[in-house]
Amino acid sequence: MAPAADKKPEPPINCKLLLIGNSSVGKSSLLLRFSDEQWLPEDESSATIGVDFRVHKMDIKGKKVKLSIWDTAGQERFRTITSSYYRGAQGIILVYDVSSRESFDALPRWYSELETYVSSSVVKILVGNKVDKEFSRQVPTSEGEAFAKRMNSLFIEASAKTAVGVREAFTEVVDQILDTPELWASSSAAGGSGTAAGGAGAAARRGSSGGSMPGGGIDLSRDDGDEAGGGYASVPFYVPVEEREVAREVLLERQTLGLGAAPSSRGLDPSRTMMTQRAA
Amino acid sequence: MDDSHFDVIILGTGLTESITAAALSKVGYKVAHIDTNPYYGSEDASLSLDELIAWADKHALNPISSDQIKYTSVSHSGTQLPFARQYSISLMPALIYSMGPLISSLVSSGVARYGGYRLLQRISIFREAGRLASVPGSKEDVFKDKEISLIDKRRLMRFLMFAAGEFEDKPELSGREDMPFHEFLQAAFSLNNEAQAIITYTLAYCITPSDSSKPALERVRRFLRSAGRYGPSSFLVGHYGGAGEIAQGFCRTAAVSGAVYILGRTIISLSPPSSADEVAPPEPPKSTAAFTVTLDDFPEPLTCDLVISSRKHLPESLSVQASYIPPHNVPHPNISVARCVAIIDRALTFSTSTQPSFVDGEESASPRPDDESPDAAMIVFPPSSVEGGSNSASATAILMGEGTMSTPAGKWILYLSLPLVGGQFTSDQSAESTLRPYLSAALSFGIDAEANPLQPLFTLFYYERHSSITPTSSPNASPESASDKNVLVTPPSDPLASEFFDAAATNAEATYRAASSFLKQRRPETASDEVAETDSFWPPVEQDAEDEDEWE
Ligand SMILES: Nc1nc2c(ncn2[C@@H]2O[C@H](COP(=O)(O)OP(=O)(O)OP(=O)(O)O)[C@@H](O)[C@H]2O)c(=O)[nH]1
Ligand SMILES: [Mg+2]
Repeated sequence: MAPAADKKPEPPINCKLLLIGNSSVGKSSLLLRFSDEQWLPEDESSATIGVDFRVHKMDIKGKKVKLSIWDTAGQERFRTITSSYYRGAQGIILVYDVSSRESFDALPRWYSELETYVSSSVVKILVGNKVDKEFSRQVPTSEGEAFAKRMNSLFIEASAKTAVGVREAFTEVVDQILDTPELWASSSAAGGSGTAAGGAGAAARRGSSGGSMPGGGIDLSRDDGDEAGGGYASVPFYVPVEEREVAREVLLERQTLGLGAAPSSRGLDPSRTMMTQRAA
Repeated sequence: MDDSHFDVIILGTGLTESITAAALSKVGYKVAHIDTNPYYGSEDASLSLDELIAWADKHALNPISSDQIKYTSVSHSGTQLPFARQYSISLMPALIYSMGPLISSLVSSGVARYGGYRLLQRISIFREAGRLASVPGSKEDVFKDKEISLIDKRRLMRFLMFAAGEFEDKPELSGREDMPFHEFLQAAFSLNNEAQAIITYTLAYCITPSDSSKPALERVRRFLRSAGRYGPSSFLVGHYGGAGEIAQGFCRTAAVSGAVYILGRTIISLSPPSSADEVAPPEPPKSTAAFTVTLDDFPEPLTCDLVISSRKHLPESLSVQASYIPPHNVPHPNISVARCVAIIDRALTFSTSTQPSFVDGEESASPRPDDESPDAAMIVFPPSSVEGGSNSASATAILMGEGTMSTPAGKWILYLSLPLVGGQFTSDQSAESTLRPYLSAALSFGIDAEANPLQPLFTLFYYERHSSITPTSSPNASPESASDKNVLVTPPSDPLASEFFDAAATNAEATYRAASSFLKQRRPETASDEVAETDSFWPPVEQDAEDEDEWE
């Protein structure tokens, strides 16, 4: 165990994972097993509608890591995962069912989507799920392993039902993400991954390549001030005196949104915004 | 509960429909969102280069259709480029005002966190071949501009103060609301031609010099107030091609709230209530029969109470009974445009003859060396500024580089667009010949272009024609019909770069309100708690687990 550093607690590292793979390979079951240590009997589980996500906190290598895991389930039957799921992700968990050849054969399609949407440094792990169904296995371990190697992915076999390999699958991905500095450099440019507060994410503030404007990429939900180096938080010159009230309201709104203000920094009151906007 | 029954089925995943889907899902309605395309965004999509070429080939083959939006005179250069997948090319290149309905919706819905944005670094106005002038959007800029005489500076300042304020009741405007804007600038502020052009085309984003004064002033005010919110520029650009990616963000939010997405399926049939009555078993008397939607290669039909459709997606059979939501605050619904997408491998230089004469305190804090060859910039071409170009309308060129995450390293996308007004360009003139002069003008700013002319690696030209005919059932539709109609057609969007986003958000809000008033009266028991409580477009963002700001 790493000796505890007696400094003030470091902010957690945010880490975004995405679960993909054919329908009913067990993505949601893996997630439930990992985050809640639970298993829903076969007849109680159902195909995910829409999208699901979980936040899971873990300590790894002496660091606090906050995982947000997106379960894209159900959607993929119709090939409807939006590219924006991929954009923010640092790790991808591709799942197939060892007792379903079809789910394994669909993997190239999944990889080709990855090629389109994520950089090659994003960590991938291939998970062969349902190893408890050894008797009806259709994909040998060696085949899965060889494929994963070819696709530059980690590999593990698991069972959401018996919990075999589940924790390991997630831990290995996160482990490797932490060891991949490029992921932290690009994540702010990818936007929305919220790495600003993360320890490793500090490097991410460098922004995207060639970003010449302050901050390069702008996170709208954080509004201005921090991004613009504080230089633009003043009332613009051209606002005449009678308009100061409106401007002040806008400023107030910014302060409410501003980093480090209220904990509900995202909690913009929409009615208020609409009013302010309407006045503008 | 029936898995294949929905409160609403939305056809088309353009930005307006996607925002509507998110808003309806968030308040608890059950939404199925369908697009016949295999990608998100419909006519607002962002496509990779190979997808774009496939798109162009499809429309080049099939130029005539009865659609509300037609793409004609489509031509592209043949070659595929390396890293084709790293391009994210927008069918609807547009800029986001830092203050306005779209930003409000992005922030209030939480969709902002799904995407990346950056400031537009430069807006320049084309003066003549090889010469640009930067646009003074702030007091500092006006002061620094060497070319503006002192007296003109004072006039310009006076105008900017006026336009940023509540000018509605001011004497300068009274009686001149509909005056052509350039005349107004002359009459009320004695501004010279140069200043008129800058204000008319780069602050007010007029298409022609004779656009009406009041709406033009409102646009100037929006421009001025947007400056300073996220940085010096009034505009943001969205990463990965903008509109298409933002539409996906709203779809993602809708999916998180349980919306079901089905892409790339042809609609085989969408039976209206009357015919469903005959076929389907009778429903409980309270609710009349729902629509039944049958999709190609899809296990079971879907049913719904309300259909919302974009104009393009609306099945012919429903066009008579549909209620067309009127555009509101959409400056140019249905205007047709000529478009060009060019890929280049050299930066454009935006250095101008106008250099700062001094650097004042605030500005010096942010030196911007890369501004000379920016990653996100716009050139505005006033009417008659380009030889062989339009005499009546202004055109824009938007440049997007690697920093917008929409191109591979060392490549830039140049989007040209020219509104087709004034009847100068007949339909037998190709989109390519209409826009070539603008492309040449833009490419003349390529770094080192004098010695070594800049040739695009790829070009695509086309006309995007919007039908101005609204096949409205009848002009004197009964007043109560609006909330009775169970087919809503979203208002047309505005294809101009400066207007598109806010128009889409405004249209979406109007659609959302029409839809929820229909659904509320039809099924008061459904989701009514939440719906009744909030009068705003977006319910407050709940502090959900997705929010990554909190650890505890
Ligand atoms: N025997 C066995 N069954 C499993 C395992 N994991 C999941 N299942 C079952 O497989 C079925 C599908 O599991 P889900 O987790 O819903 O699959 P999914 O990938 O999320 O499916 P979609 O949401 O439709 O994409 C359910 O009946 C599960 O109980 C496993 O490890 N072993
Ligand atoms: Mg699932």
